[in-house]
Amino acid sequence: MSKAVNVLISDPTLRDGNHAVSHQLTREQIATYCRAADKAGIPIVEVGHGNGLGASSLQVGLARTDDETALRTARENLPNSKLGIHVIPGFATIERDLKRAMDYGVDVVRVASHCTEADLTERHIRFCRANGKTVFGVLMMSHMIGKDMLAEEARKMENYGAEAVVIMDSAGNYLPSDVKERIDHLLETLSIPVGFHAHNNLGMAVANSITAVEAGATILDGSARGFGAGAGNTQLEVLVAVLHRMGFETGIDLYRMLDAADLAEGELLKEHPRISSISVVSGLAGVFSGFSKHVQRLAQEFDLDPRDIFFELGRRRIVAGQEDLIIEVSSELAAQKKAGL
Amino acid sequence: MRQAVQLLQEDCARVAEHDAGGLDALRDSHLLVTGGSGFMAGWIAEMVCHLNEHRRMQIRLSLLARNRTQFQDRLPHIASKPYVTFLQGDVRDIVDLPKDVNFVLHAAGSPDNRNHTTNPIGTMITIADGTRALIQAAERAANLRMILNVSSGNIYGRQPSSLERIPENYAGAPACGGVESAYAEAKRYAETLMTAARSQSRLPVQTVRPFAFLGAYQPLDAPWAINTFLNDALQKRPIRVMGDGQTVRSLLYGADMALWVLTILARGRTGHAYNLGSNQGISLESLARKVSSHLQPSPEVILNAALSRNVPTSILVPDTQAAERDFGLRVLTDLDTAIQRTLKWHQC
Repeated sequence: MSKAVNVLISDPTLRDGNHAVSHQLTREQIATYCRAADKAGIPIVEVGHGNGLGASSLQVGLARTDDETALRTARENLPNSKLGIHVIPGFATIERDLKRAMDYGVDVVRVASHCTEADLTERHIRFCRANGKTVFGVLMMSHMIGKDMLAEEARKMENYGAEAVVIMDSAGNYLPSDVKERIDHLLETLSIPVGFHAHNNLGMAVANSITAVEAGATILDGSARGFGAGAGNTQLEVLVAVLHRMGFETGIDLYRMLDAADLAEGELLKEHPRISSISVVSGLAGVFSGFSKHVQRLAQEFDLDPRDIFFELGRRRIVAGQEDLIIEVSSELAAQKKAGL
Repeated sequence: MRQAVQLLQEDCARVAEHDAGGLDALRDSHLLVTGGSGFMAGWIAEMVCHLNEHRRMQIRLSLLARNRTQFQDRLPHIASKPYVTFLQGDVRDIVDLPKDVNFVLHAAGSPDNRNHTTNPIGTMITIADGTRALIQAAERAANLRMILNVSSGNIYGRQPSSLERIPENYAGAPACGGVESAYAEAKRYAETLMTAARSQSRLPVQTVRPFAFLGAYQPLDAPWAINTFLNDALQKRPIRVMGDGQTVRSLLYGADMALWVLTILARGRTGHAYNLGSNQGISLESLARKVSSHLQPSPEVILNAALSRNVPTSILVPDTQAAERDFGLRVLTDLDTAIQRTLKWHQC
């Protein structure tokens, strides 16, 4: 008899990883990784554009594989694992996107908002609950606010009907003490499970994830080889190994997980996620990891130091979805540079 | 539609049989209900229909609500009755009550905690200003005999685990720091405002504090566990229980609720407050299993317990001895019957 899972793993390799390849994952890559993930027993496999359902656009990047193809392909190749999607209200509408996604067989909907804007998730969470889907609330860029406001926003999601709340360290800015403080307070405030999604900008993703679980979080996100935006996510195969060593049960077969990670490295990754100098700066500045490619491109275009752009973006507290502001900031910095300021 | 109406009329008839003349004070009277398109108003209207058509009580019923379409969609059979008048408007804007109004049931204000969470300021202002406007209008109503203010069981705050049922004199309060306290705190304020009006203007006011209900007129996507369970069951999918299922709630059927409210309105004494709900607590797991047992094939019940850690068991069950002592009110529709009737209504 198998042991009950006490840490639920959600794998965004095919969603957050899409950021790392400018949303160019193909149908074949999705099918291949899903088969491997399903064999490994990964409970939830997230699929889609890096910014989630309905996000493919010129502003944040056109996806090579449209939502319908991605979801149908994943569903066909996930006979056991649950199919998850990331949904940001605004990008994803209920009528156009969510209803269709449910028709394609989505099991888990993760409705996300910036950490101060949980109000925006009400209708989407309600819709998912009314349609019998498992729905998690997700608070992105959670480092930008303190534990009290974060708990208040999470509580809103609980009131709307979320069955769990996941906080994202979208910028890879947290230290373990930050994670512990927030997870502790969320667990004091909520009566639903709490999860954590890390980024590795400061090399803390696995450590922060373990801190979260030790503090009482029961849902962790991790990607094969850390395939994700910026410096990448928590490296899933490492996380699973550590969790198993600590005595937690994930329901994942470690050997097959390692096989899936090897496969991801060969089939999905153009370049291995690494903590580049830019990633370190992005983490320190507390800026969304997914901005790296935009920043680097604009730094070249405007002849700027990308690190200066990141710190300025951090000072202005810009968030995901405000990609157009990177151009504005770069342009202003270039003008200042020209003026000798 | 006809079948659904008949089902509710059967419920009202079955429950009203237990009235031993307590409702007679309502005979030939005019009752105004604020929040006229909600769950409570729907059941009150059904009961008034029964009393008028089977006991010739000749009650005139005015229902005040903002949305005429919602009223007509939900209660088309009520809308066409000659003794029912729909008043379109916001309770906050009310200036005068209809001249011959004798009883007012002040039931305006959505108890949906999702709305409170998104718009806590609007929630508080609506309750506070609506109650103030109603009081000012009531002060000019020459024929007014009683206002029944519908408060909330949430005004007690969290029920201590050591307390099996909350009595009306329990001095708990909602935590001011919580975003969801907006509704409960506003309801406390409204109670106090009504008390002030009773003292200052000698308005005849009493209060009921509703807990949880089930029955017709509650949408299946309402945020309470019973609706989620019914919705899952009716959609023929597993019933999912959030958490370990040990949370305890109690549920009063809509027809019982209507009888309680009208009895308290008719016979109650000014200044009193009564809990309105069932005193029979049940865990959410047991409730889900009960719902499941009423369908064939019975849907699976799934607990989401493995991932929940250190979650204290929450209890919210009213002590209803005061209503039983003063009016002989008790639960008349057992939970199984209530579930069965509610499922049937949704299937009509």
